[in-house]
Amino acid sequence: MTTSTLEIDGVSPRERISPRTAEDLAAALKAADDTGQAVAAVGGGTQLDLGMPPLRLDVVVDTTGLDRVVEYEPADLTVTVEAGMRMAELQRILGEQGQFLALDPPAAEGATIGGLIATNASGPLRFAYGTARDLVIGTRVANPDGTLTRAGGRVVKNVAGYDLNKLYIGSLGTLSVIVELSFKLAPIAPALDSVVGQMPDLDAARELVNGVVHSPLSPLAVELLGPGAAVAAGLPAANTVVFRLGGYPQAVERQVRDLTSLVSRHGGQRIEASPSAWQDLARMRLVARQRDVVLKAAAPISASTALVAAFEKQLEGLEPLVWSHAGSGVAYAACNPPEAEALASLRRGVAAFGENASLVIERCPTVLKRAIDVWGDPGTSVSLMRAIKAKLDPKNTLNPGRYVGGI
Amino acid sequence: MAVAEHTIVDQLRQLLPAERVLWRDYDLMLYEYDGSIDKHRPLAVVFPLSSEEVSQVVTACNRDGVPYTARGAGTGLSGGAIPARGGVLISLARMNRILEIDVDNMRAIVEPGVVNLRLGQATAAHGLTYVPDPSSQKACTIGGNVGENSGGPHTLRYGVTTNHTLGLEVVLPTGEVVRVGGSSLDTPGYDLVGLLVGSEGTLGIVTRIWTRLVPINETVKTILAVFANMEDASSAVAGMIAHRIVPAAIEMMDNLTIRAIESRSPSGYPVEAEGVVLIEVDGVREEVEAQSEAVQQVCRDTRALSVRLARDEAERAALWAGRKGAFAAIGRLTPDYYTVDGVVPRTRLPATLARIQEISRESGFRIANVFHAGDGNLHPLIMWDADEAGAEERVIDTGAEIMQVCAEAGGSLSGEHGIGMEKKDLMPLIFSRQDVAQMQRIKEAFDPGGLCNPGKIFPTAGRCLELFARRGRAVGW
Repeated sequence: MTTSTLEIDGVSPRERISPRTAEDLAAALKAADDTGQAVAAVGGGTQLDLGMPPLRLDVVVDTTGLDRVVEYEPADLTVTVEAGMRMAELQRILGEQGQFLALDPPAAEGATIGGLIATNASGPLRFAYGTARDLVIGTRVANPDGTLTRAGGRVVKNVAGYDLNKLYIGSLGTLSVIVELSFKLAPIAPALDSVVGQMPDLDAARELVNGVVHSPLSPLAVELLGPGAAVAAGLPAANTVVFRLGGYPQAVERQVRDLTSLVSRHGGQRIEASPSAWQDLARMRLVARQRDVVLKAAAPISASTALVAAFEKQLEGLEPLVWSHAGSGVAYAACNPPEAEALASLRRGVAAFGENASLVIERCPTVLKRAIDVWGDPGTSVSLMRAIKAKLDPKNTLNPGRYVGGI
Repeated sequence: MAVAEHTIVDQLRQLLPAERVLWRDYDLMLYEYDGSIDKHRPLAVVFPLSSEEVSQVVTACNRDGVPYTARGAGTGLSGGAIPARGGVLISLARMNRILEIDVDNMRAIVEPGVVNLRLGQATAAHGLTYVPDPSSQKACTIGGNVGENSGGPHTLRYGVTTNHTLGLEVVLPTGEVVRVGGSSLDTPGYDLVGLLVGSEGTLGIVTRIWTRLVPINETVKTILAVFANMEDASSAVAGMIAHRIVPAAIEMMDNLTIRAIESRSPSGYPVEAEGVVLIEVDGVREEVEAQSEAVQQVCRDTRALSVRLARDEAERAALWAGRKGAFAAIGRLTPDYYTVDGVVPRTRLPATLARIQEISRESGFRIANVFHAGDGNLHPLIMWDADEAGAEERVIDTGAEIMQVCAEAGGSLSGEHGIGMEKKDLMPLIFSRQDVAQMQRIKEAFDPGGLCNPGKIFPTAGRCLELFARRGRAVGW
């Protein structure tokens, strides 16, 4: 990628710098801050569509030069890496020790760990392992005043000082630039399997999902696909529930057995999926994210199927692919561009599911961003968010205008 | 100041009924301490019943420039609920309603004064439970847990309070009431819930909490492994992690603790054991069977003298009652004890425990060890006598020395008790001036007036250097 091709919502930076050390990166931030230039930190550049168009953009700071493992002691089940390390490379290193970082967002080749954390990306395994906020135990960030500061640490349990890790996760580089991350890790399960259930309708899918998430069964993931997404994943065109199981072989077998009979008890049919079914689903999500528009809705868990239904109905005719992390109340749709009014109406519908239910437009043509705020209404706490931004980035140097509430 | 004191008490008595404002010296004495060593008496204690009343109290304090501090059950171990600079103590103990148990969405909405154990009891009928289980769970409140980001034995696999807190209603230091997060996940914007949990009541006062509930496990097994020494016990812990086993809980106790537990109420621990490890595995039946076998094998491989599976629920409950009552049991062996809370990487446990033994010998204080070994969270209990001249300073110095050992091992000053008043001057051991300045900026963003629970977390200029100078140590700050 070169300066000429990298642009964020049609805005091109004047300069691109690629520091090799955290210190150089911090110095570059300070230089920009001193001279009133706006900075966007970019890792693999795979998620540049997220957020509103930048108000200003002068310098792109490329973090991929920071790609070292700082410390990895497998027996501690923790790792510390620089933020520009590729996610795939990190998982490869951990995999050699039978461990992994339990975060499985759609990550295009080249996606960096820092970029995934700054965008709070997540995937199906969030049902069992949580999201970045549950896995990040320490951060080191570069601030616009040129300082490098740490929060958290390298131990799995830590309440010393404010938990600024949480603040940096998902902050889209608007407060500081993450240069180093420490994670708690998980062992790779000795056995893994999937159960794919083709359901007669969404009501049956809802009953099935509700039954399973309330039961002592402990799937690693509970996914729901609309018919379009199922086809895109190489499955028959139907509302489809997919469970991922992991653990000791006898425990996986038992859960496969129980889930198979639960699927049929709810009028569905377990289909013999290929051994690569789980990977096929991941590929579907990744490909879907290349569509013109990607939406993410979050609501209380029991509304998962209703979110899928709302997406399918409201986006009809736009070739929607709809899927949900149904055990978490999170759903996605990828489709052709709708009218801004249709999105606003969809957002109102989602808001009705709960007091903090949300619809975020994760990707769309820039022109649409002029008609609708991709983040939605941030609610009463936006004044606090602005106060935090004003303290940590007083000159509005970092990604101005791209975040929630115009931050 | 005398005028302000007079005014604030008068104002509080106008805001709230007489029985919900304490201001006589006699009544205030009870509220000058928590579970830590420090003390400071408030000007008044109030018992609001709603976020509106909390907001009115905060607004009154702002008007007169009087500091205020929130308090739950006062079981905290780092001074989080002590009014370090005096002012008004806002007790949330009477805001103790469970507002909603949303079974479909596996959420509960509670007021901050709800006692931890009560929530789990209330949800059990629905097959659901609330996970964080600090040892003080019979008394401590969910609000206090949120303030301190409390842990407990079962956090090894399931996480601490922050991992189970989804939303908060907060009275900000401006008096404004805001909601952050809620029943749905991934609210757009900065994760203010994550920032507020564990902020020790210094950024606002939480008046409502949305928590996660989870299904009760199908099967639970508890294993007791006995070792000839703490080194072998530590290697069993390391062995489990190395064998890719992450149980629900791994707790370790030394001989001093075991004797204390058994002399208080027999719980099934062998009194001659030099070290025991209590392991709990839970989940679906087949997973528990297999994991339990694997755990027992690791213990035998690391020279366990005996490995025993609790036969039934009664035996299991007894073992846990012993573990959770360990601090109280130690209390019977000594006039006073000082609970230290530190964390080290799991691989550094054996070396750290050995250093603590040396520190015990050098300082002359007996130190008992009972802790969450699975996540490297140590709780050395320093046994001392407050009536002995100069002992308090020496015991605090000994705690600080253990903290230094944890810091040098790449660990942290606190795994679950918080920094509070107790450890604020030790912050330089793990954080740079800039690290702390970054946290201070957050404090200023929330509380520019500095009246919300002042005197916590942030080091006092000069004080930390003094502490280390006394021990002949330099700290590069």
